[in-house]
Amino acid sequence: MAAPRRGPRKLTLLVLVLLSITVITLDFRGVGVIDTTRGAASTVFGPLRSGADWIATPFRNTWNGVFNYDDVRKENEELRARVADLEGQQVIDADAAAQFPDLLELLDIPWVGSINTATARVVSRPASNFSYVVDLDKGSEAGIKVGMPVVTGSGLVGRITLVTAGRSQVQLITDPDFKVGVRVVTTQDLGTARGRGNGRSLRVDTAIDPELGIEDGARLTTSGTDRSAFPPSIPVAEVIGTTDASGGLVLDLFAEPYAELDSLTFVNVLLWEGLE
Amino acid sequence: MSRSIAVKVGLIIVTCVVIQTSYVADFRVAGVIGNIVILIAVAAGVEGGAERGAIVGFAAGLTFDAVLQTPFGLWALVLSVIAYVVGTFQRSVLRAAWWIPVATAVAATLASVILYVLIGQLLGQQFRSANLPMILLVTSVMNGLLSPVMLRAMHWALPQERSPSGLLAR
Repeated sequence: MAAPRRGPRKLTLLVLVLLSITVITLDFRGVGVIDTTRGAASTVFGPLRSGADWIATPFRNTWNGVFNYDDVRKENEELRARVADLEGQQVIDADAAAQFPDLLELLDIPWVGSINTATARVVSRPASNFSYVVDLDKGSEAGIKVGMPVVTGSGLVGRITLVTAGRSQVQLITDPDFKVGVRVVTTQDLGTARGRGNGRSLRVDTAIDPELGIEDGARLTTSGTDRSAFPPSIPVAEVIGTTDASGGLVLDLFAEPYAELDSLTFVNVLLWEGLE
Repeated sequence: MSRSIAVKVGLIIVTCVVIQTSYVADFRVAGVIGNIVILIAVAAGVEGGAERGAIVGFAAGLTFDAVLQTPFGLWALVLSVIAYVVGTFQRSVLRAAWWIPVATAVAATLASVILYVLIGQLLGQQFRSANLPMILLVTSVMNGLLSPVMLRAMHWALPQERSPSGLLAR
Protein backbone atom coordinates (compact mmCIF):
# COMPACT_ATOMS: atom_id res chain seq x y z
CA MET A 1 0.00 0.00 0.00
CA ALA A 2 1.42 3.39 -0.98
CA ALA A 3 2.33 5.73 1.90
CA PRO A 4 -0.07 8.66 2.25
CA ARG A 5 1.22 11.80 0.50
CA ARG A 6 0.42 14.10 3.39
CA GLY A 7 3.54 16.26 3.17
CA PRO A 8 3.10 17.51 -0.42
CA ARG A 9 -0.68 17.94 0.13
CA LYS A 10 -0.14 20.16 3.15
CA LEU A 11 2.47 22.13 1.21
CA THR A 12 -0.06 22.70 -1.58
CA LEU A 13 -2.63 23.97 0.90
CA LEU A 14 -0.04 26.23 2.53
CA VAL A 15 0.93 27.71 -0.84
CA LEU A 16 -2.72 28.34 -1.74
CA VAL A 17 -3.46 29.95 1.62
CA LEU A 18 -0.42 32.23 1.34
CA LEU A 19 -1.40 33.11 -2.21
CA SER A 20 -4.93 34.00 -1.08
CA ILE A 21 -3.60 36.19 1.73
CA THR A 22 -1.27 37.92 -0.73
CA VAL A 23 -4.14 38.66 -3.10
CA ILE A 24 -6.31 39.95 -0.22
CA THR A 25 -3.46 42.21 0.89
CA LEU A 26 -2.97 43.56 -2.63
CA ASP A 27 -6.71 44.32 -2.81
CA PHE A 28 -6.68 46.18 0.49
CA ARG A 29 -3.66 48.19 -0.56
CA GLY A 30 -5.49 49.25 -3.71
CA VAL A 31 -2.92 47.79 -6.10
CA GLY A 32 -4.07 48.48 -9.64
CA VAL A 33 -3.75 44.89 -10.88
CA ILE A 34 -6.76 43.85 -8.78
CA ASP A 35 -9.06 46.43 -10.38
CA THR A 36 -7.67 45.49 -13.77
CA THR A 37 -8.47 41.85 -13.05
CA ARG A 38 -12.00 42.72 -11.98
CA GLY A 39 -12.43 44.83 -15.10
CA ALA A 40 -11.23 41.97 -17.27
CA ALA A 41 -13.59 39.56 -15.51
CA SER A 42 -16.48 41.97 -16.07
CA THR A 43 -15.58 42.17 -19.76
CA VAL A 44 -15.36 38.38 -20.09
CA PHE A 45 -18.40 37.44 -18.04
CA GLY A 46 -20.60 40.28 -19.26
CA PRO A 47 -21.49 38.74 -22.64
CA LEU A 48 -21.87 35.31 -21.03
CA ARG A 49 -24.34 36.71 -18.52
CA SER A 50 -26.21 38.56 -21.24
CA GLY A 51 -26.47 35.31 -23.20
CA ALA A 52 -27.67 33.42 -20.14
CA ASP A 53 -30.23 36.13 -19.45
CA TRP A 54 -31.47 35.94 -23.05
CA ILE A 55 -31.91 32.17 -22.75
CA ALA A 56 -33.77 32.50 -19.44
CA THR A 57 -36.08 35.34 -20.48
CA PRO A 58 -38.91 33.24 -22.02
CA PHE A 59 -38.90 30.84 -19.06
CA ARG A 60 -38.80 33.72 -16.57
CA ASN A 61 -41.67 35.47 -18.35
CA THR A 62 -43.72 32.27 -18.35
CA TRP A 63 -43.03 31.72 -14.67
CA ASN A 64 -44.00 35.30 -13.79
CA GLY A 65 -47.07 35.09 -16.01
CA VAL A 66 -48.29 31.95 -14.26
CA PHE A 67 -47.39 32.73 -10.65
CA ASN A 68 -47.20 36.52 -10.41
CA TYR A 69 -50.06 37.67 -12.66
CA ASP A 70 -52.32 38.78 -9.78
CA ASP A 71 -49.48 40.68 -8.10
CA VAL A 72 -48.58 42.39 -11.35
CA ARG A 73 -52.19 43.36 -12.03
CA LYS A 74 -52.60 44.79 -8.51
CA GLU A 75 -49.32 46.68 -8.79
CA ASN A 76 -50.44 48.06 -12.16
CA GLU A 77 -53.66 49.39 -10.66
CA GLU A 78 -51.80 51.02 -7.76
CA LEU A 79 -49.30 52.60 -10.14
CA ARG A 80 -52.08 54.02 -12.36
CA ALA A 81 -53.68 55.66 -9.33
CA ARG A 82 -50.33 57.03 -8.22
CA VAL A 83 -49.57 58.41 -11.68
CA ALA A 84 -52.91 60.18 -11.70
CA ASP A 85 -52.10 61.83 -8.35
CA LEU A 86 -48.65 62.83 -9.54
CA GLU A 87 -49.97 64.35 -12.75
CA GLY A 88 -52.26 66.52 -10.70
CA GLN A 89 -49.43 67.54 -8.39
CA GLN A 90 -47.24 68.25 -11.39
CA VAL A 91 -49.54 71.02 -12.51
CA ILE A 92 -49.30 72.68 -9.12
CA ASP A 93 -45.52 72.37 -9.02
CA ALA A 94 -44.89 73.45 -12.60
CA ASP A 95 -44.63 77.14 -11.80
CA ALA A 96 -42.26 76.63 -8.88
CA ALA A 97 -40.15 74.18 -10.89
CA ALA A 98 -39.79 76.69 -13.69
CA GLN A 99 -38.37 79.29 -11.37
CA PHE A 100 -36.19 77.02 -9.24
CA PRO A 101 -33.31 76.33 -11.71
CA ASP A 102 -32.98 80.03 -12.43
CA LEU A 103 -32.75 80.75 -8.74
CA LEU A 104 -30.12 78.06 -8.18
CA GLU A 105 -28.15 79.23 -11.18
CA LEU A 106 -28.08 82.71 -9.74
CA LEU A 107 -26.67 81.25 -6.51
CA ASP A 108 -24.29 78.91 -8.46
CA ILE A 109 -25.69 75.75 -6.81
CA PRO A 110 -25.82 72.52 -8.89
CA TRP A 111 -29.27 71.01 -9.29
CA VAL A 112 -29.95 67.38 -10.07
CA GLY A 113 -32.48 68.34 -12.74
CA SER A 114 -29.83 70.13 -14.78
CA ILE A 115 -27.22 67.33 -14.75
CA ASN A 116 -26.67 65.26 -17.88
CA THR A 117 -27.42 61.57 -17.47
CA ALA A 118 -26.62 58.26 -19.14
CA THR A 119 -29.41 55.68 -19.07
CA ALA A 120 -28.19 52.12 -18.55
CA ARG A 121 -29.78 48.72 -18.17
CA VAL A 122 -29.09 46.62 -15.08
CA VAL A 123 -27.69 43.33 -16.38
CA SER A 124 -27.06 41.51 -13.12
CA ARG A 125 -28.17 41.64 -9.51
CA PRO A 126 -25.94 41.06 -6.44
CA ALA A 127 -24.35 37.64 -6.97
CA SER A 128 -23.89 36.73 -3.31
CA ASN A 129 -25.51 37.50 0.03
CA PHE A 130 -22.53 39.66 1.02
CA SER A 131 -22.29 41.58 -2.26
CA TYR A 132 -24.19 44.82 -2.82
CA VAL A 133 -23.25 45.47 -6.41
CA VAL A 134 -25.20 45.44 -9.66
CA ASP A 135 -23.75 45.61 -13.18
CA LEU A 136 -24.81 48.06 -15.89
CA ASP A 137 -24.49 47.67 -19.67
CA LYS A 138 -22.80 51.06 -20.13
CA GLY A 139 -19.29 52.14 -19.19
CA SER A 140 -16.65 54.74 -19.97
CA GLU A 141 -17.76 54.91 -23.60
CA ALA A 142 -20.97 56.55 -22.35
CA GLY A 143 -19.05 59.04 -20.20
CA ILE A 144 -19.49 57.09 -16.95
CA LYS A 145 -16.75 57.44 -14.33
CA VAL A 146 -16.09 56.02 -10.89
CA GLY A 147 -17.92 57.94 -8.16
CA MET A 148 -20.87 59.12 -10.25
CA PRO A 149 -24.29 58.87 -8.58
CA VAL A 150 -26.87 56.42 -9.92
CA VAL A 151 -30.61 57.05 -9.62
CA THR A 152 -33.98 55.86 -10.83
CA GLY A 153 -37.13 57.93 -11.20
CA SER A 154 -37.88 57.09 -7.56
CA GLY A 155 -34.59 57.99 -5.96
CA LEU A 156 -30.96 57.22 -5.21
CA VAL A 157 -29.67 53.76 -6.12
CA GLY A 158 -25.98 54.05 -5.35
CA ARG A 159 -22.63 55.05 -6.79
CA ILE A 160 -20.40 53.82 -9.62
CA THR A 161 -17.42 51.85 -8.24
CA LEU A 162 -15.92 50.13 -11.30
CA VAL A 163 -15.89 51.12 -14.95
CA THR A 164 -14.73 49.39 -18.11
CA ALA A 165 -15.33 50.47 -21.69
CA GLY A 166 -18.78 48.93 -22.00
CA ARG A 167 -19.78 48.01 -18.43
CA SER A 168 -19.86 49.50 -14.96
CA GLN A 169 -20.66 48.41 -11.44
CA VAL A 170 -22.88 50.19 -8.93
CA GLN A 171 -22.45 50.00 -5.16
CA LEU A 172 -26.01 49.97 -3.78
CA ILE A 173 -27.11 52.23 -0.93
CA THR A 174 -27.88 49.12 1.15
CA ASP A 175 -24.16 48.26 1.28
CA PRO A 176 -23.03 48.57 4.93
CA ASP A 177 -19.97 50.44 3.62
CA PHE A 178 -22.13 53.01 1.79
CA LYS A 179 -22.95 56.35 3.35
CA VAL A 180 -24.55 59.55 2.04
CA GLY A 181 -25.30 62.92 3.57
CA VAL A 182 -29.05 63.49 3.79
CA ARG A 183 -31.45 66.25 4.70
CA VAL A 184 -34.92 65.88 6.27
CA VAL A 185 -37.11 67.81 3.83
CA THR A 186 -39.59 69.13 6.38
CA THR A 187 -37.18 70.22 9.11
CA GLN A 188 -33.94 70.68 7.08
CA ASP A 189 -32.04 68.64 9.69
CA LEU A 190 -28.88 66.98 8.38
CA GLY A 191 -27.71 63.42 8.88
CA THR A 192 -25.65 60.57 7.41
CA ALA A 193 -27.51 57.57 6.00
CA ARG A 194 -25.75 54.17 6.00
CA GLY A 195 -26.70 50.86 4.47
CA ARG A 196 -27.43 47.81 6.61
CA GLY A 197 -27.55 45.02 4.05
CA ASN A 198 -29.90 43.78 1.36
CA GLY A 199 -33.58 44.11 2.14
CA ARG A 200 -32.96 46.22 5.24
CA SER A 201 -33.74 49.88 5.90
CA LEU A 202 -31.05 52.55 6.05
CA ARG A 203 -29.89 53.91 9.40
CA VAL A 204 -29.47 57.67 9.59
CA ASP A 205 -27.24 59.29 12.20
CA THR A 206 -28.51 62.77 13.07
CA ALA A 207 -28.09 65.45 15.67
CA ILE A 208 -31.85 65.79 16.15
CA ASP A 209 -33.08 66.29 19.70
CA PRO A 210 -35.23 63.26 20.65
CA GLU A 211 -37.66 65.65 22.34
CA LEU A 212 -38.51 67.17 18.95
CA GLY A 213 -38.87 63.84 17.13
CA ILE A 214 -39.36 63.10 13.43
CA GLU A 215 -42.62 61.70 12.10
CA ASP A 216 -42.82 58.49 10.12
CA GLY A 217 -43.15 59.31 6.44
CA ALA A 218 -40.68 62.20 6.56
CA ARG A 219 -38.73 62.42 3.33
CA LEU A 220 -34.95 62.38 3.05
CA THR A 221 -33.00 63.83 0.14
CA THR A 222 -29.27 64.16 -0.50
CA SER A 223 -27.92 67.17 1.36
CA GLY A 224 -25.25 68.07 -1.20
CA THR A 225 -23.25 69.78 1.52
CA ASP A 226 -19.68 70.94 0.99
CA ARG A 227 -17.48 68.34 -0.83
CA SER A 228 -20.37 65.90 -0.93
CA ALA A 229 -20.11 63.03 -3.41
CA PHE A 230 -23.74 63.60 -4.43
CA PRO A 231 -25.57 66.65 -5.77
CA PRO A 232 -28.35 67.98 -3.53
CA SER A 233 -32.07 67.14 -3.62
CA ILE A 234 -31.95 63.54 -4.87
CA PRO A 235 -34.73 61.62 -3.08
CA VAL A 236 -33.13 58.94 -0.89
CA ALA A 237 -35.57 57.34 1.56
CA GLU A 238 -38.66 57.70 3.73
CA VAL A 239 -38.49 57.55 7.52
CA ILE A 240 -40.18 54.44 8.95
CA GLY A 241 -39.00 54.64 12.55
CA THR A 242 -36.70 56.32 15.05
CA THR A 243 -34.56 55.29 17.99
CA ASP A 244 -32.59 57.14 20.65
CA ALA A 245 -28.83 57.11 20.19
CA SER A 246 -25.74 58.34 22.04
CA GLY A 247 -27.34 57.65 25.38
CA GLY A 248 -30.59 59.38 24.46
CA LEU A 249 -28.96 62.63 23.41
CA VAL A 250 -29.79 62.41 19.72
CA LEU A 251 -32.21 60.62 17.42
CA ASP A 252 -31.31 57.96 14.84
CA LEU A 253 -33.73 57.32 12.01
CA PHE A 254 -34.59 54.19 10.07
CA ALA A 255 -35.56 54.90 6.47
CA GLU A 256 -36.80 52.77 3.58
CA PRO A 257 -35.11 53.62 0.24
CA TYR A 258 -37.41 55.02 -2.42
CA ALA A 259 -35.67 53.10 -5.19
CA GLU A 260 -36.91 49.52 -5.67
CA LEU A 261 -33.50 47.87 -5.38
CA ASP A 262 -34.82 44.32 -5.79
CA SER A 263 -36.36 45.03 -9.19
CA LEU A 264 -33.98 47.41 -10.93
CA THR A 265 -34.16 47.32 -14.73
CA PHE A 266 -33.08 50.73 -16.01
CA VAL A 267 -31.17 53.40 -14.10
CA ASN A 268 -29.77 56.85 -14.82
CA VAL A 269 -26.12 57.60 -14.12
CA LEU A 270 -25.67 61.27 -13.27
CA LEU A 271 -22.64 62.48 -15.22
CA TRP A 272 -21.56 64.57 -12.26
CA GLU A 273 -18.05 64.62 -10.83
CA GLY A 274 -18.64 66.54 -7.65
CA LEU A 275 -18.15 70.10 -6.58
CA GLU A 276 -14.80 71.67 -7.40
CA MET B 1 -3.12 18.37 -13.20
CA SER B 2 -3.23 17.60 -16.95
CA ARG B 3 -4.41 20.13 -19.51
CA SER B 4 -7.65 18.26 -20.26
CA ILE B 5 -8.54 18.18 -16.57
CA ALA B 6 -7.79 21.91 -16.30
CA VAL B 7 -10.05 22.62 -19.28
CA LYS B 8 -12.90 20.54 -17.86
CA VAL B 9 -12.61 22.10 -14.41
CA GLY B 10 -12.36 25.57 -15.94
CA LEU B 11 -15.52 24.92 -17.93
CA ILE B 12 -17.37 23.85 -14.78
CA ILE B 13 -16.15 26.90 -12.85
CA VAL B 14 -17.09 29.40 -15.57
CA THR B 15 -20.49 27.76 -16.11
CA CYS B 16 -21.28 27.76 -12.40
CA VAL B 17 -20.23 31.41 -11.94
CA VAL B 18 -22.45 32.43 -14.87
CA ILE B 19 -25.35 30.41 -13.44
CA GLN B 20 -24.74 31.94 -10.01
CA THR B 21 -24.71 35.53 -11.28
CA SER B 22 -27.47 35.14 -13.90
CA TYR B 23 -29.97 32.71 -12.40
CA VAL B 24 -29.27 31.96 -8.74
CA ALA B 25 -28.97 35.70 -7.95
CA ASP B 26 -32.57 36.15 -9.16
CA PHE B 27 -33.97 33.24 -7.16
CA ARG B 28 -34.42 34.53 -3.61
CA VAL B 29 -35.90 32.79 -0.59
CA ALA B 30 -36.75 35.27 2.18
CA GLY B 31 -34.44 37.76 0.47
CA VAL B 32 -31.51 35.30 0.50
CA ILE B 33 -29.77 33.71 -2.49
CA GLY B 34 -27.89 30.44 -2.71
CA ASN B 35 -24.21 29.97 -3.51
CA ILE B 36 -23.42 27.10 -5.87
CA VAL B 37 -19.76 28.14 -6.20
CA ILE B 38 -19.18 26.62 -2.75
CA LEU B 39 -20.46 23.34 -4.19
CA ILE B 40 -17.64 23.31 -6.76
CA ALA B 41 -15.04 23.19 -4.00
CA VAL B 42 -16.96 20.61 -1.98
CA ALA B 43 -17.43 18.32 -4.98
CA ALA B 44 -13.78 18.74 -5.96
CA GLY B 45 -12.73 17.70 -2.46
CA VAL B 46 -15.01 14.64 -2.54
CA GLU B 47 -14.05 13.47 -6.03
CA GLY B 48 -10.51 14.76 -6.37
CA GLY B 49 -9.15 14.45 -2.85
CA ALA B 50 -7.58 17.02 -0.57
CA GLU B 51 -4.82 18.40 -2.81
CA ARG B 52 -6.67 18.63 -6.11
CA GLY B 53 -9.78 19.78 -4.27
CA ALA B 54 -7.87 22.65 -2.68
CA ILE B 55 -6.51 23.75 -6.07
CA VAL B 56 -9.97 23.64 -7.67
CA GLY B 57 -11.48 25.43 -4.65
CA PHE B 58 -8.86 28.16 -4.93
CA ALA B 59 -9.55 28.62 -8.65
CA ALA B 60 -13.32 28.65 -8.16
CA GLY B 61 -13.07 31.09 -5.27
CA LEU B 62 -10.76 33.43 -7.15
CA THR B 63 -13.07 33.44 -10.17
CA PHE B 64 -16.04 34.25 -7.94
CA ASP B 65 -14.08 37.02 -6.20
CA ALA B 66 -13.38 38.58 -9.60
CA VAL B 67 -17.09 39.21 -10.23
CA LEU B 68 -17.84 40.54 -6.75
CA GLN B 69 -16.78 43.69 -4.93
CA THR B 70 -16.01 41.91 -1.66
CA PRO B 71 -12.31 41.39 -0.71
CA PHE B 72 -10.51 39.81 -3.65
CA GLY B 73 -9.06 36.47 -2.55
CA LEU B 74 -11.44 35.86 0.35
CA TRP B 75 -13.55 33.18 -1.35
CA ALA B 76 -10.32 31.69 -2.76
CA LEU B 77 -8.96 31.33 0.78
CA VAL B 78 -12.16 29.89 2.22
CA LEU B 79 -12.90 27.43 -0.59
CA SER B 80 -9.33 26.10 -0.80
CA VAL B 81 -9.38 25.32 2.93
CA ILE B 82 -12.87 23.81 2.85
CA ALA B 83 -12.08 21.64 -0.17
CA TYR B 84 -8.90 20.42 1.51
CA VAL B 85 -10.77 19.50 4.69
CA VAL B 86 -13.53 17.76 2.73
CA GLY B 87 -10.97 15.83 0.70
CA THR B 88 -9.13 14.73 3.84
CA PHE B 89 -12.37 13.74 5.55
CA GLN B 90 -13.64 11.77 2.55
CA ARG B 91 -10.47 9.67 2.53
CA SER B 92 -11.25 8.21 5.89
CA VAL B 93 -15.00 7.67 5.43
CA LEU B 94 -16.69 4.82 3.62
CA ARG B 95 -18.80 6.24 0.79
CA ALA B 96 -21.19 3.38 0.37
CA ALA B 97 -24.13 5.38 1.72
CA TRP B 98 -25.69 7.83 -0.77
CA TRP B 99 -26.46 10.42 1.89
CA ILE B 100 -22.85 10.88 3.04
CA PRO B 101 -21.79 13.16 0.15
CA VAL B 102 -25.07 15.12 0.49
CA ALA B 103 -24.52 15.56 4.23
CA THR B 104 -20.93 16.55 3.47
CA ALA B 105 -22.17 19.21 1.04
CA VAL B 106 -24.55 20.63 3.65
CA ALA B 107 -21.96 20.67 6.42
CA ALA B 108 -19.21 22.08 4.18
CA THR B 109 -21.54 24.84 2.94
CA LEU B 110 -22.35 25.85 6.51
CA ALA B 111 -18.66 25.86 7.39
CA SER B 112 -17.79 27.88 4.27
CA VAL B 113 -20.29 30.65 4.97
CA ILE B 114 -19.33 30.86 8.65
CA LEU B 115 -15.61 30.94 7.81
CA TYR B 116 -16.23 33.60 5.14
CA VAL B 117 -18.13 35.82 7.58
CA LEU B 118 -15.53 35.36 10.36
CA ILE B 119 -12.55 36.16 8.15
CA GLY B 120 -14.50 38.98 6.53
CA GLN B 121 -15.21 40.50 9.95
CA LEU B 122 -11.48 40.29 10.77
CA LEU B 123 -10.83 42.20 7.56
CA GLY B 124 -13.27 44.92 8.60
CA GLN B 125 -16.22 43.93 6.40
CA GLN B 126 -19.75 44.47 7.73
CA PHE B 127 -20.89 40.92 6.97
CA ARG B 128 -22.70 40.56 10.26
CA SER B 129 -25.29 42.97 8.93
CA ALA B 130 -26.64 40.21 6.68
CA ASN B 131 -29.40 37.80 7.70
CA LEU B 132 -26.93 35.06 8.63
CA PRO B 133 -29.21 32.28 9.95
CA MET B 134 -31.39 32.41 6.84
CA ILE B 135 -28.30 32.56 4.61
CA LEU B 136 -26.92 29.43 6.28
CA LEU B 137 -30.23 27.63 5.90
CA VAL B 138 -30.91 28.52 2.26
CA THR B 139 -27.36 27.96 0.97
CA SER B 140 -26.89 24.64 2.75
CA VAL B 141 -30.27 23.24 1.70
CA MET B 142 -29.78 24.36 -1.91
CA ASN B 143 -26.30 22.85 -2.08
CA GLY B 144 -27.47 19.65 -0.47
CA LEU B 145 -30.15 19.29 -3.17
CA LEU B 146 -27.75 20.14 -6.01
CA SER B 147 -24.80 18.12 -4.72
CA PRO B 148 -25.53 14.94 -6.77
CA VAL B 149 -25.35 17.00 -9.99
CA MET B 150 -22.10 18.72 -9.07
CA LEU B 151 -20.55 15.46 -7.87
CA ARG B 152 -21.27 13.89 -11.25
CA ALA B 153 -19.74 16.87 -13.02
CA MET B 154 -16.60 16.70 -10.88
CA HIS B 155 -16.40 12.94 -11.33
CA TRP B 156 -16.26 13.58 -15.07
CA ALA B 157 -13.69 16.39 -14.73
CA LEU B 158 -11.43 14.82 -12.09
CA PRO B 159 -10.68 11.19 -12.87
CA GLN B 160 -9.43 9.33 -9.85
CA GLU B 161 -5.63 9.21 -9.59
CA ARG B 162 -3.85 5.84 -9.47
CA SER B 163 -0.51 5.13 -7.79
CA PRO B 164 2.26 3.33 -9.71
CA SER B 165 0.95 0.06 -8.26
CA GLY B 166 -2.43 0.68 -9.89
CA LEU B 167 -4.21 1.33 -6.63
CA LEU B 168 -6.41 4.38 -6.17
CA ALA B 169 -4.42 7.19 -4.57
CA ARG B 170 -5.73 10.38 -2.98
